[in-house]
Amino acid sequence: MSLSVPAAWTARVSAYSSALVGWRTANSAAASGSSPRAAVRPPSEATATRGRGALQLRRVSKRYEVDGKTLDVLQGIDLVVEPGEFICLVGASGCGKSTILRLIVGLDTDHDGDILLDDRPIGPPGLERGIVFQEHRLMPWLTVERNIGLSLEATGRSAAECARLVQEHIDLVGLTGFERAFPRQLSGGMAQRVAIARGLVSQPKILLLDEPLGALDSLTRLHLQQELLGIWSRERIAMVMVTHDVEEATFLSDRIVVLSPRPGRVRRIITVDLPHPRDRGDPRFIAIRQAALSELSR
Amino acid sequence: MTARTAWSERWRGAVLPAGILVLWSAATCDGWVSTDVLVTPWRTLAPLGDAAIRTDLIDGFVASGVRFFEGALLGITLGLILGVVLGLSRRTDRVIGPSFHAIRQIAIFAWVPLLTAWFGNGDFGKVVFIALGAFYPVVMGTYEGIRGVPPHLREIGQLYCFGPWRLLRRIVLPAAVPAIVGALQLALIFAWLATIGAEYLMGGASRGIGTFVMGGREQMRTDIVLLGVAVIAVSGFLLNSLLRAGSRRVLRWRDAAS
Amino acid sequence: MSISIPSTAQVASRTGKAPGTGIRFGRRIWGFSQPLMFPVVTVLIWSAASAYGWVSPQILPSPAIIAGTFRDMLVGGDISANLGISLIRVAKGFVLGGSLGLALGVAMGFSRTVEIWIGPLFRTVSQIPSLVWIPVLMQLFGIDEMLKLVIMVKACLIPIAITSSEGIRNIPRHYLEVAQVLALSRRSRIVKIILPGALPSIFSGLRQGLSHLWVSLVIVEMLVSAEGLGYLMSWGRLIFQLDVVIVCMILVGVIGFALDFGLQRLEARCLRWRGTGVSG
Repeated sequence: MSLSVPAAWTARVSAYSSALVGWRTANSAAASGSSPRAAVRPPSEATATRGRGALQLRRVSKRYEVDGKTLDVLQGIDLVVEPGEFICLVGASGCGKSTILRLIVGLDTDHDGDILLDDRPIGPPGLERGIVFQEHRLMPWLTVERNIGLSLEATGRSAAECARLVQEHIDLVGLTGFERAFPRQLSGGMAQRVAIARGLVSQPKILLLDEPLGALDSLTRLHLQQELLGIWSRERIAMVMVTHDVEEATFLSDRIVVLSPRPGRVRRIITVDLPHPRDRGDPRFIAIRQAALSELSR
Repeated sequence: MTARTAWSERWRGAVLPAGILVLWSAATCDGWVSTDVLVTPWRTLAPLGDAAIRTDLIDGFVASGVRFFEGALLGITLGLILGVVLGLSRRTDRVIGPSFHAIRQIAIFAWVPLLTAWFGNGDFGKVVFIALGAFYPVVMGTYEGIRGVPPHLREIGQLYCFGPWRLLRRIVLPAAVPAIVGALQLALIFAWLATIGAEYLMGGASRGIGTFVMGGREQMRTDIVLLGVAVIAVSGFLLNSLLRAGSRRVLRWRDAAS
Repeated sequence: MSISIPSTAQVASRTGKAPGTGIRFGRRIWGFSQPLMFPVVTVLIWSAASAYGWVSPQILPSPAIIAGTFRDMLVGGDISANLGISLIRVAKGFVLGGSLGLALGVAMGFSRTVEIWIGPLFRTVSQIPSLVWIPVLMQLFGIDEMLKLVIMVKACLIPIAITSSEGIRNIPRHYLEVAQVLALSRRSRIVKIILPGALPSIFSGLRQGLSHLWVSLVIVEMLVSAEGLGYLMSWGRLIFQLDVVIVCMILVGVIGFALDFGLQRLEARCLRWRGTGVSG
């Protein structure tokens, strides 16, 4: 058919160019543990879509007017997230941690102060900032692959390219074979993994996670913490995660940002410079965890 | 939403009905539409001036109302009994249930010819029909209300050694009340519909508001027809509002007590 | 006095092994026969009543007579002619009423403006049942096909419009936020998120609408028609052939059930993602 000729032609051209570049990147890709198919991806494309991914929050504040009274939800939040860094926001309920995420992703645009991504103010939601919610929020009427593919709708990629990316990320989160399953057929942990794949497939510069493991039982949660770590080390994308579980924060993040409630303020930032894999019984681990806990209970 | 936007929304919502009213008046006044078909809005109220028609209307409305109550009472009582039996006894449900559901498929208006053949066009046939209209929703609602009582509530009764009668009285029926109240609401609305329908379909051996309307049709008195329909519509609205307010009252009391 | 078939567990504990096929088969037969007990007994008593003359066959024809009449009517073409006409009317009414209802419901669901202007009038009209409208509509449209079409359209348009507009407006905010963060185009959001999410409500409205439509049609045919199933029933009543009336009653029930069943199957296919355990 005449319509398929241009598509086939562009596919061949991109295949040639990828093959040329892929030859050179194959080694570096293999070293970081990604699949052979991913090695064919030209590096220029990866960095172009991802950029540096440096996030900056400058004196961010948020106020609500309720019955004539002003409620300060956030006050003077200053935060810098380096590219590829894993940050956890911890704090009691009411300290505005989820609000911070909603401001960063752009679901809420009413705030004082600046939020910058790669030195540019963020606007309404865009694909360079991905988010994973606490409820998986998968569309019940779409299969796993269609749910993940939803992320790529707005990118204008070809169908073949989309299918490849979706399959890659299904493999990444360990759900190979479940492409055609519906959300109701998945367990909570599996559904959340699909949500994570959906957040990553559009190759955002930064991924936000709002208590993603909060709705799961403890065993699944421990398992997924490992998976999350694996995904992060492979993709090397900045992650900002909100959690109430201090142990989880100590296990996963490079820095723990402790917030105090009402109004939400950064109380202390604890650096976790332990190498991965981290041992939860290690005295240094326990010390850091204790430090964070005591900050919280002050 | 501010009070002002709410008001302006209400005004805009009234534009279309007002426009229709204007169109209606214009069409009938200027004779676009013959008076056989439609009369002006205010002429609809004119027949009220005629004493004979007025008594017809009022007598008819009262007669319909009486039949409504009789039929509703009959249908609700029988419906509650069958609904409770089907809800409590699984065995009865298995035996009678499927037949009940099969018969329920037959639209109640399809019963009219049979009922008129058996009971004539008089009051009794109409009351039976109205009872039928109220019967089905009550059975369904009661059945589902009782079936829907969570098993753990029954278990509490068993823990405290409640006998079956006490279990029914103190746990099962109160828990089923919201569903039953909803079903009663539906039943009364269906009964009202059946009252009107009975008079349309079963003819005018006895007085009634529906008979009043059909009579107007036969006499080619469009104004009587419209007047009657308006009375029916208004009575329906009132019934609806009353039922909603009533059920809110009853359920609120239940909620507070539970 | 009641027969108690031992349960699987009881049999297993007594004999030390699972119940054989004999007991399982017996239990299955028992399961089948229970619902049939009531109708069978009723038919038996009914036949006896006619045979022994407890009730005059004019008042209550025996099941045998009814079956015979059904066969005669089928062979004679009465049923196919009238039922066919009714079903064609149903098709016309449902297609027209359904599409108008969907269009209106979608408009009210998506556009607050439409909701503001048309909503109140629509709600008022919808609260007045079709039955009440019939005399007025008879004035306006006479008593021929137009009347039936108008009544059918009114009967099914309203539930469909209401449920589809509610389905669209009640899409959980969670899903809409996902559409936002994935930067979906407006078209994508509507086609992939809002419409599929509203589909269960839409189907519920379609089933209600079809059932209302069928009942309304039968009523109108009984009142003012010269053909169709309702007319056939009235005619049977007129000539005091209650067997004809009863055959028609049964047909009304069967067709009503079949229409709803058909829609239910369609719903199950379209909503496969919802899984089992969701009743209509």
